Amino acid sequence: MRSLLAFLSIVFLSTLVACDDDDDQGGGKYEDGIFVVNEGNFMDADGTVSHLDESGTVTLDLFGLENNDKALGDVVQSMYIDEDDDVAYIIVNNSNKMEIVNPNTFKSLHTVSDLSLPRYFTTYDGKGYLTEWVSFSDPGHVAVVDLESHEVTNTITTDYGAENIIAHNDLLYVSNNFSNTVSVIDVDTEEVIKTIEVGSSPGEFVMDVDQKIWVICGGTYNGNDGSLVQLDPSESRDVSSNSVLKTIELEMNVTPKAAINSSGSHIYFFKGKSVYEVATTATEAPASPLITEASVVGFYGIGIDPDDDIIYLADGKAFSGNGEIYWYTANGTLIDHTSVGRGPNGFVFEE
Amino acid sequence: MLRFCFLMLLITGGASSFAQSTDTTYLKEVSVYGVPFASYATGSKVAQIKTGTDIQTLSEKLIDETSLYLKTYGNSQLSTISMRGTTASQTAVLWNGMNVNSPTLGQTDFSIIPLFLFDEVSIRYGTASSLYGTDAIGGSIMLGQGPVRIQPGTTWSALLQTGSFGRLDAGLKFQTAFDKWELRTKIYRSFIENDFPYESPAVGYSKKQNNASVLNYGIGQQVYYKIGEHQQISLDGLYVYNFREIQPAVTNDQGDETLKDSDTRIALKYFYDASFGTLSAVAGFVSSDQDYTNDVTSNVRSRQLNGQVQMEQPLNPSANVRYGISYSNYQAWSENFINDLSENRIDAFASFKQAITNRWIVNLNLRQSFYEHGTPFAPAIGSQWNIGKEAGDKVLIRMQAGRGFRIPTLNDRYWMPGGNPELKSEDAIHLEGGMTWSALKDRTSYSVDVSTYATWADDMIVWLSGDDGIWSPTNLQKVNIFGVEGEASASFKLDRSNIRATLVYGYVQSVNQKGLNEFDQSIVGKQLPYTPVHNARASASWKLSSWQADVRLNYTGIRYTQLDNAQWLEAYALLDASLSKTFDASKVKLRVRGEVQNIMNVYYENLRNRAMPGRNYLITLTANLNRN
Repeated sequence: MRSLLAFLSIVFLSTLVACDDDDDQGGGKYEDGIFVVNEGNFMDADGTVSHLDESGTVTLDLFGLENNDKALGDVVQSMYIDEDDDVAYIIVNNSNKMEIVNPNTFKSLHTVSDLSLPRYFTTYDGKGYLTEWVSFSDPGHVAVVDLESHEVTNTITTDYGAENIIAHNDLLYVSNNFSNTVSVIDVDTEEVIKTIEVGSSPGEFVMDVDQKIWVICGGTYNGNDGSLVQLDPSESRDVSSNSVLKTIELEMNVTPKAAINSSGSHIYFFKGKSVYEVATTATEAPASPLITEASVVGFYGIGIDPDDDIIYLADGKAFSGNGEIYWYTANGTLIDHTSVGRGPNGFVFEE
Repeated sequence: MLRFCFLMLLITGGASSFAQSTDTTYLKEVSVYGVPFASYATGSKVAQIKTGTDIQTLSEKLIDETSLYLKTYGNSQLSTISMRGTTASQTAVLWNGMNVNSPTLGQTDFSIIPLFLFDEVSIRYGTASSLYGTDAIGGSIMLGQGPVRIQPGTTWSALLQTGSFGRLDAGLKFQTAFDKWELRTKIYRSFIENDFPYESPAVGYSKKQNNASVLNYGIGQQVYYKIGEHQQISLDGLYVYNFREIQPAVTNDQGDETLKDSDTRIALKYFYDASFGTLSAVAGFVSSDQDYTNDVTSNVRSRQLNGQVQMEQPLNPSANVRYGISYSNYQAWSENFINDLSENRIDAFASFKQAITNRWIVNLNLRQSFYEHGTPFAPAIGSQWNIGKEAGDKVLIRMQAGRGFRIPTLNDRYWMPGGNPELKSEDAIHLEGGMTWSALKDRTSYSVDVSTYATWADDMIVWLSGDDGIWSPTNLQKVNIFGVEGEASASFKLDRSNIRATLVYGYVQSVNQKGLNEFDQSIVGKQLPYTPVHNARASASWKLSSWQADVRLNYTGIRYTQLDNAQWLEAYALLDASLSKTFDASKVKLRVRGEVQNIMNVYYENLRNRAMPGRNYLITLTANLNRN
């Protein structure tokens, strides 16, 4: 009898705890599935975020659908979901703003305006960090954003074309796409403590199984010198040491976007209609692609679902119309494909 | 990448008039000092618009008075044309026989062409590369001056205009003739603050434009000298300056882009009407200087030098032949071009016109352009039958078949990065037929004009992003076009007043035939973006002694914004009205005119997310002084 009572009380208590979990944002339509970020056509302000749910249904324009047909804006560059606070930040590059929405319902929460060509956003230890190109003649910077007031409290200048950003061990790493450097910023002092020289046109970061940070570099114009550079974060506080562990020369130009599988063992990038897979232990570029999809016009974005390691690829279709996404098993077998918004450039997965 | 993207991104119907029904030579034309090519447009549809009495851009005029579609990027902003379902670079714009489309972009910004500096504009519908060379696939637009009479006397006219959103325009014209000279000077200045309020559904609250002002001023000067009874030499020059703040999309708050254009054109013309034939020669200089500023300024400059000679001769009393040669040298400068980018082109052309009977005329035009990667030989044949029965009743049937081409622009071939020097010319075959019926009965006259046409355009140039993200053009696209145009107008003379009504309608099916690669079907069989299927205009004009009232309704159909037609912009109709009064003293004529545009205050967008103004006003005061 006592054990039954104990059992029942445990069951009862656990249901209380379960109820607490989904109180305000309970059961939003977009809790599961994946998001696709679509830039839209430059100057037409028709960028969107699309959603692919578990049953394969695509919603083309989430923001418009859930916010009375409002436009997200011109060149939706990226979206970042803060899992702790359950908030999504959508960066609209050419509209110079950031739309803050509820990632489960996509209802608009707040708009941050008057930015200067914002690109990517991340949060770390309760603060927000936004990269901005600023202009085409000034160096880029990181804007420190207060997550409550949404005010910019500080700007930290890096190098031309401040692009992607990743946080690790109280340090921020920023790739400077118009240049060939990665800037390291101390989160407490809010200053650049080190500038690491990598390949030309660095873009996205991924972190591997050994906690090393990789950055993919597009290469110089027609130089066929794209590369994957592996950095050692433990060297970041030592200005004189070489942060670069190794460089894999890709011998071609690539779009500087990359994804890593859930175990952090293999990095994936693309060029044209092909997708390449590189082991983090490799020293040379892959000899041949993992996937070549003949019907694609040109890949423009890549993402890997951390839950099932399915590889997602976006075909921008030269912005002629709605884009198309393709997804593959980890060994490169096509599962399916479907239409999304115009100019898809990336994927966001909720954890 | 963003800046690169921007830099890429520019009436009354009836067939050509012709001398009436005798077997005499058709050589002497009244308007021969004006546009020398009009007489070889037999079988095609040509419309003429009188201009120069208002300060207005060619874009505004074409939108108001024709069923042509102009893609405007906002109010007083960049405006490009789509004639008969073709692209903006498939319409030739001609000035003194020279194609003045930008050699870098291959198109013209119609919002920079000030009609105050021209007396008449001719619109030739359909392919005419056989006459005008490259670009004339959808149609051609000729900017011209009025006929030269060299009658002694002086006229002045002054114009003052003010309107909504801080618009203030002023213009002055001066014309004098004495001995063997005639001089014409035109000067104007036009400014609009363009701070119009708008409420776009995509934004949800009212905003005001803060970066859309436009300043435009210019001068035109013509000098005519009659060397002898049959010889004339003339100089035609103009300079136009345009500074525009680029209107941002409705969602963008801090627009700060600007575009500055300076255009200079000079032409020296010689004309000799001899017994053996008519000789005309033109030497021309066209220069364009453009600064685009978005934080940093990018500059593109281009220059065209042109020389052409043609001879027109009667072969026999019912046939004319015309032949000639044209030479052009193009140069362009930009940080995205190699140094000293220069190109030469030679065109050889001939026309043959025969009146088979006094009611049936046939015209053959031939032209070959010499350009390094080849252009197709462009022949065209046209025919016109006059089958009217009585005087005052006219029934004209016309038919035209021809080949057109467009030479790839300097940007297409030499822009760094991405330019493709191996591009072929765009190639088009065009067929059309039409009928004009006009009649005059008692005090009523009416006319109906119907045209139908088909164009098959191949090797159309499209810029696509390559594997490494660099955009590059290829001869990818194939488009089939079919259309119908109708115009009906009627004039009634009542006791003391005069009423004129016009109805114009255009239907265009402009369908893409090829996917982005052999697997892509999503864009095949789809209407081209920004090419409305339906376009219509209805207008009425009532004149009572010195008063005139006009009303006009303009309808633009649905426009797709993407090649796959998955998104579109709604159709819209705009209502305008105006009232004017003329005061006539012996030597002075004064006219006051008030106009209200978009009376129903409709919110519409011509281009996605570029707001257009609601109801707005314009008041014009014109004074004409004749001193003979």
